Amino acid sequence: MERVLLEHVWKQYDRRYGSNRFRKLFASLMGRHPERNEFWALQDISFQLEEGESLGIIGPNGSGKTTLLRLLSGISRINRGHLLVRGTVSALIALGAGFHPELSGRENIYLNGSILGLKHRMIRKFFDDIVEFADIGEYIDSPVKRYSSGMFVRLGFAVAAQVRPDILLVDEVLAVGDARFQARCHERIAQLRESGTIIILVSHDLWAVRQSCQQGLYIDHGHIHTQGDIATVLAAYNKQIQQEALLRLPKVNESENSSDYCSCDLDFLDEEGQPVTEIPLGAPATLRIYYRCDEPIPSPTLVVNFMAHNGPCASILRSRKAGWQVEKLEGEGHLDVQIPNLRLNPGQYAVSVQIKDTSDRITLVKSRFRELFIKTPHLDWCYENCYYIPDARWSEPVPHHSETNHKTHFPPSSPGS
Amino acid sequence: MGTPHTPPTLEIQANADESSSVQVWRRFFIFDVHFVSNLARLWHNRYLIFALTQRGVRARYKQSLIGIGWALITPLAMTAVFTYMYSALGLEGRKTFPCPPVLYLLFTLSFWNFLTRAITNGSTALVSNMDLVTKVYFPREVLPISSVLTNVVDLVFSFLLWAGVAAGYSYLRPGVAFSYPHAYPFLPHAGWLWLPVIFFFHLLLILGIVFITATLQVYFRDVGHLINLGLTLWLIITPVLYAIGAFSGGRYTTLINLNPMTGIIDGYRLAIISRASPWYTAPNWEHHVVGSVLFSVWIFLVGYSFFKHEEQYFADVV
Repeated sequence: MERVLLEHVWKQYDRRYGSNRFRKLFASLMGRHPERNEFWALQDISFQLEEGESLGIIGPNGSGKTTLLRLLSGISRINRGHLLVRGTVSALIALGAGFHPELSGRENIYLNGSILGLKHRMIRKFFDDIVEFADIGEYIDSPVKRYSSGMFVRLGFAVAAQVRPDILLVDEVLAVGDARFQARCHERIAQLRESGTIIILVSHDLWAVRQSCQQGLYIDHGHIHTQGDIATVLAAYNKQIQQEALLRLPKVNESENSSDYCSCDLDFLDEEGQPVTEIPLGAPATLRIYYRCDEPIPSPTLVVNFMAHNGPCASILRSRKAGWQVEKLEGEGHLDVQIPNLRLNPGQYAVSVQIKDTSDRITLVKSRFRELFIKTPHLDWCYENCYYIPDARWSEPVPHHSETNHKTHFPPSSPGS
Repeated sequence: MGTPHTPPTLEIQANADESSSVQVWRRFFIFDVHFVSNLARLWHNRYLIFALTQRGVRARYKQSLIGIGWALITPLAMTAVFTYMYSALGLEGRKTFPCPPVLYLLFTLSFWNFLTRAITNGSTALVSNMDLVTKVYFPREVLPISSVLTNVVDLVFSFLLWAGVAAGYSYLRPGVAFSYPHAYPFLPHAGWLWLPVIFFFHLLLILGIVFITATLQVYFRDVGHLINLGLTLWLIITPVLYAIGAFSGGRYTTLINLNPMTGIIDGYRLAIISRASPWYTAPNWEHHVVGSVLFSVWIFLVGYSFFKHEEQYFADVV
């Protein structure tokens, strides 16, 4: 039997009056047109979840993910359709909601626990666990306004983690806190999932979604873009991101692109010498650099930059390092750079070439960016083949006998564990 | 974990036409009359009411030097001012007050101050707890109720102050009870048992008003200003600064008689201070008290059903 069921759910908001229908009524009596500000934040959303299933909701900012969680938790109401939720719902939407800055950590634990639906007796039972989990030590009796923001969030999560709901809604809370805290959050979510709790996770951290969820829902501007198996949904989302990233390739200044006496450009070629934009992971590549120099450039240095789509420089090829040297670069022509194994992670790159002077300090000219995809046969390339795999040789297992002088590598196992 | 046959905790079947402008009038059915299920859910959340009330009480006096002392200073100061004013005007006569003015004013002001504070705090309960309203789901009436209950602590302390002053008064001036022939001795007596009963209806009256004002405050922040104005005007037609018999006849008396708070304050007075007496009791005092009780129940039900209907919109509007 389904625990969560949405059938053709629509949700409307108003940009100006925020669903304040009394003010809208006044506005329309005043001759204005409040319906012009209305928009559908969610349109025709349908899905259902059975016990033990988990759903990851992804999508760009403003696509309606948080709205969906608010509808599921009962905070806000649908306009059209049918919504059914069976079981207790707990929302990790705002950690430490209802914390009063003047009250001590101890007092706030009881308060926040009550807000999240825990009985007083339960809180007392789990009190020590909460304090230990939050790791706030002697601060427990100080007012929470004296806490660091990390302590505040940890305490909030420690209380929320004691709630054992049938359905857990998680919204971006894991983005705060250090790595250790995040690891503990994921551990807790995994525990709950194993005990049969339905997890609905909204995150921009696709890795987290991949880890925690079997099903996916990709929402874009209030519509369902793709839904189903998490791998399919992530692949669709990645594809969409790639297409959008193409439009956002970094632009190079025209004056930089071609100075008055020289210019350059580049292309990737396949085996047949045809220009390509996609290269399979680990395949050989040929980079063709075109140049035109009206005045000869004496012993230039060439530098090829590979920028990852989100900004950082992924790799650099320097002609100096490779020992390449020419007396001068003159006239119009091209040269080829053979790369037997392009050691780049799968993904999208923006590649450009620069011609520099002999000392490798002054950039004479910089080409425009060319996009390059490193692709894999797998759909969700980012998460299955995240890193380039180096060649490695594995040996046979070598047993450690007591007569040989190998000291044991491990501490003695404690009894009972 | 619930059994596979858990009943739905949340089921909404929205009318397909609800959002279209064609049936705008449907959105202005503003009452939800499922009192039994609403009150049952409220009872289920009693721990939350307790925790939020506790938060309110603790937070109010944290980082203040005198702390709960402020609950006593306010009525004492007001009583001192008014007593001085009445004696300067020569109005402390036996027809104006059923007992020494100090005791009367201290008594009525503690209940009146409770009402004003409860209404002021309760009306802003939803707006000032915006983060809770937009982020966590629970029955929203918990917020105004706990805001109102937070003020009960002040009421208890100021009533104990009155009891202390009254006991001291009758000890220092034993003849005072004889000079006000219809007054009880100012020591605890059986009439005090009426106190919780009257307080219950007093609370219903306040909650009924607060449910309405808190809801309207979500839509229009103007309500806050109106409440302050309204409370000032309301004080004038309530027998707080004078006894109910002080005005006889005329339009002003009609206003006093129609005021739901008249019966509540008079109920407290009849229970604690004095037996009914033709001097300072309106001719049909029972009508006041019974009328106020009925009005309190009515306004509570109206306010609660209005609040419960509007509750679904709070998170989107606030």
